[in-house]
Amino acid sequence: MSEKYIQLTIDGTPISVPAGTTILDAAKEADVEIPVLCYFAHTTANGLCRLCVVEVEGARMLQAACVVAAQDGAVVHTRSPKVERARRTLLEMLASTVDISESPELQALVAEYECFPERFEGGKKRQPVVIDDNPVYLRDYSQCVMCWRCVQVCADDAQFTYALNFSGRGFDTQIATFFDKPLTETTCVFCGNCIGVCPTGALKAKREYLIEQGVAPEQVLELTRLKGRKNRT
Amino acid sequence: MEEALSEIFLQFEGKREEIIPILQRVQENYTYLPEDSMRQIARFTKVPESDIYGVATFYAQFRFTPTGRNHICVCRGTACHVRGAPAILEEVAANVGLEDEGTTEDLEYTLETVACIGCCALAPAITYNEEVHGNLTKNKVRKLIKAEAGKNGSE
Amino acid sequence: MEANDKTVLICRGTGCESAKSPAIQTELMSGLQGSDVEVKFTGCHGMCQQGPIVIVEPQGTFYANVKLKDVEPIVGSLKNGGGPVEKLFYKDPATKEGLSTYHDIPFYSRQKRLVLQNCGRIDPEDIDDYLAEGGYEGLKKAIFDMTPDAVVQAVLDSGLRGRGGGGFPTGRKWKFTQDAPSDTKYVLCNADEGDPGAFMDRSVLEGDPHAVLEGMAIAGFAIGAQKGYIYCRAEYPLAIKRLQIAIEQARERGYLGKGIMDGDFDFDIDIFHGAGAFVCGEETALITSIEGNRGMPRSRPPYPAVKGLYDKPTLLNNVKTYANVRLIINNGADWFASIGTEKSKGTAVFALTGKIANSGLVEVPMGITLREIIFDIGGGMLDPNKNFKAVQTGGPSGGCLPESFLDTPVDYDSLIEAGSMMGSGGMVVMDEDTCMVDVARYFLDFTEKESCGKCVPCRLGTKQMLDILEDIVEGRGKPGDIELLEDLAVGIKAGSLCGLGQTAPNPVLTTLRYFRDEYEAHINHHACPAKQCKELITYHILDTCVGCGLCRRNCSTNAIIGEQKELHYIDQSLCHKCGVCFEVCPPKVFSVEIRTGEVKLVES
Repeated sequence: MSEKYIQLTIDGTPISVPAGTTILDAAKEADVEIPVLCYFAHTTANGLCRLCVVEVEGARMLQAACVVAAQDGAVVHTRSPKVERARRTLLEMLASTVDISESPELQALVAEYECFPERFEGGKKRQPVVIDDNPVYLRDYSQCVMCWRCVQVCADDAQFTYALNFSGRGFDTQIATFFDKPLTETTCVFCGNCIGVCPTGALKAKREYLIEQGVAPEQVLELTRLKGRKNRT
Repeated sequence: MEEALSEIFLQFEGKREEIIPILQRVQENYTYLPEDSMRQIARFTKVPESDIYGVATFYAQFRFTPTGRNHICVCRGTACHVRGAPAILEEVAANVGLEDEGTTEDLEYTLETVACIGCCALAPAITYNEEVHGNLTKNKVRKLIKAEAGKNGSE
Repeated sequence: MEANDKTVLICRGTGCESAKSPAIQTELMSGLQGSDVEVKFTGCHGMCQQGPIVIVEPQGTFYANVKLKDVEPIVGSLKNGGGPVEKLFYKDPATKEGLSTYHDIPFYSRQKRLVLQNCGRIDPEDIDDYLAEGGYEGLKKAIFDMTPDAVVQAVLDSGLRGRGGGGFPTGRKWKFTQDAPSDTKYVLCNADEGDPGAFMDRSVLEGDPHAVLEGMAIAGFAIGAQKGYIYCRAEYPLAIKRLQIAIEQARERGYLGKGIMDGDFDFDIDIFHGAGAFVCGEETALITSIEGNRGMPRSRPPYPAVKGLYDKPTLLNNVKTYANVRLIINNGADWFASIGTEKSKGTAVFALTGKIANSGLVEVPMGITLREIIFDIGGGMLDPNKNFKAVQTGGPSGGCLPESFLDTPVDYDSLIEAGSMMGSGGMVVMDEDTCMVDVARYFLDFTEKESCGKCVPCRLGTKQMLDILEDIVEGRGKPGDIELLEDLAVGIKAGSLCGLGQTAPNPVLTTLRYFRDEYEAHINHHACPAKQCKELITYHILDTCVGCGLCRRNCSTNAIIGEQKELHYIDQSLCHKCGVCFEVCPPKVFSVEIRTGEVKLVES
């Protein structure tokens, strides 16, 4: 069966894409860049960060470009005032509640959209303590934007390990293990996929972190190696 | 595995969509969801433990610590709110020896709030061990808790 | 008519049950044992404020606030054929006159009870009662005299719109699901009534459960489904129990199960107990919850009509929507379309609560005004000396309308235009003692707690809004806060993934629109005009105090100082503002005053 193509316009550029293509992918074809945060090419898209929202003429609500399929004849605006305002407020909310000091991409977006996160200084921040429960990596959820990527790669999108999931709901939702057990007591195999897909500094390799902190390399080895291995060297 | 748990599992097939009904039955039995029973549910349904934990922590109904012998729910519905539910919550808490929602150390009382118990004409209302008490005032709360405590003592 | 035709109905809806109506029923039954009078219990009769309610049919004699001690005179009058017990009549608040039957009571006479026609009249645990009122005739007609297309067409023609709040045309939803190609389809009933201050669905389920089952079965026939689920909140144990009984009885009689009424249509229904998450009222969240997951919505399309439960085409409607279906099939689409307004057909069921004289369950034709509901049916303010301030509809997704909107007709479109919405039927009345900023804070507190946490705008935005509102009611409001709230509201509405987030700012936006001065008073003058916000008020004893000492003895923080028979005063540094002094001060003296605004902390 030959692929069916549809026509649409993105920011004034007409484009033809196979039916079923998301607005995000169609925009790439049209050389229009839509910012993303939770979207990652190799994990299931959920459209949850809402940064990629665009205005589709005739639709009541803004649409998440990463999950919504482009429709034939659609007229899409990716930088309309409504879109920009939604993105700006969103980035301000993120920047004022999450520690983005180690997330250069997010910082760049905050600058690009002329955000003033300071407006929300009065709000409560999420400030859970850093979890240091294994030799491989640290979990600093004060930097977590809840993009779900780590949970997805830990589960059916890559590793099928299922060590990570969620706990709680709403503002207090957190990435968690079964009964918040240390990773060493879970099914975690320390494959490192979650560290790789984390878009912020929430998950980081311990050695890298210690070196950044100015710890001497020999000491880093001491701190991150198990006793048995050290004796062999 | 504990007998109670196997009895519960007998009534299910171990399918994913049975997780919430199973959790409800287990909590009915233990008053909360013990860690080990959560592991057993994971095994029975072939769903990862972390996933079961994720589901259970999402819903307000589920608890992970035992509840007190007496269970008080204060309605925080709109009708109750405009007719003084916050003061009722304060009064209940003070009378059972709690600051806010929670369980007393001696496991005598568990105090919770609930979105709406649906008898708004009786606002403000609470349930005491599932029984609804409505049209409350601070004074009536004091009397109710005293009367119920008396009942328990004589049993 | 002879005495032995009489039936005594005792209301056992949740309201009356908690006011001890089961004990009254037992007492009535033992008192009337051996007589020809039948004693039956029913679901909610509606006038919950006057419960427990006892009705004697066929006259419709209405006894209000019946206590155990009142059973004896009722039994006496029934056995001896004497006149009714006048002292138990409902008294008209205006004329103080006792009204003997419910037909005379304005609360009932101004209503139009279609969905609620059986509630309070039949025994919900007895299928024969339902059958005697024409039950399952609609299903019979649909299966044997109509085609699925004709059923869908009838629902389309009736103009019925979703009673869950959104108001989407029900017939179109049915058509989409019917048209979706699949051998397996599902019919879901949303009974996860989560709006705080609403109990309409609960009352229908408790009072007339078969009507919901019948509506679902007709829907199953129309769209080609074999299986239905009712998603009911676990907080409604009585509704679940009565549904369970109704399902079993319907199966026994062949109205559910294989080969319904000996035809070749199979359809069965199970109950799913919701585990306490308001967001599961959103259709995709409800579906994912039945599948055994965290109840988080997903983005649409695909709509459930195409890809729903277990990825199969799924029809999802509210309890009251299904309860309307048999009426449409029995009486015809034209009949239904003749009730209501041009775009909103049929009736609306409201749970009327808050600072209102007659709290209860009411059903009115669409198009009636808010004023008629609140003042004619609801009997006006709970405390007649207080002024009406606002009415809230649509729960946490709706808004608060002020007095100037009382003549707004109640229909989907007019309410949305006014900034509120129909919602599923909660209607909360507020008087001058209600602080509108606190009401906004209350709703945001609710949505913030109930946000699923999936999408960023709702997860973080509702929290931000709540923080700002808490600052304002606690006296830490700053200039600029109102603008910040408005900005956040726009961002959350535009960006959120599901209906919960998209409507969460509405209570704030409508209170800002109609009661902005209250926000400004809180922020700029540290004053709460309704004198409700604890941090912004102080209690004072006036010099009319006679020194009775009542307040002093009741004060839990010993903040009240004064000798017996002498003027008392409040040490503001010790006062916790619990308000007990205001409550206990004898009405004759009434010397405690609440002040707000820029107040000094030390009594002069």
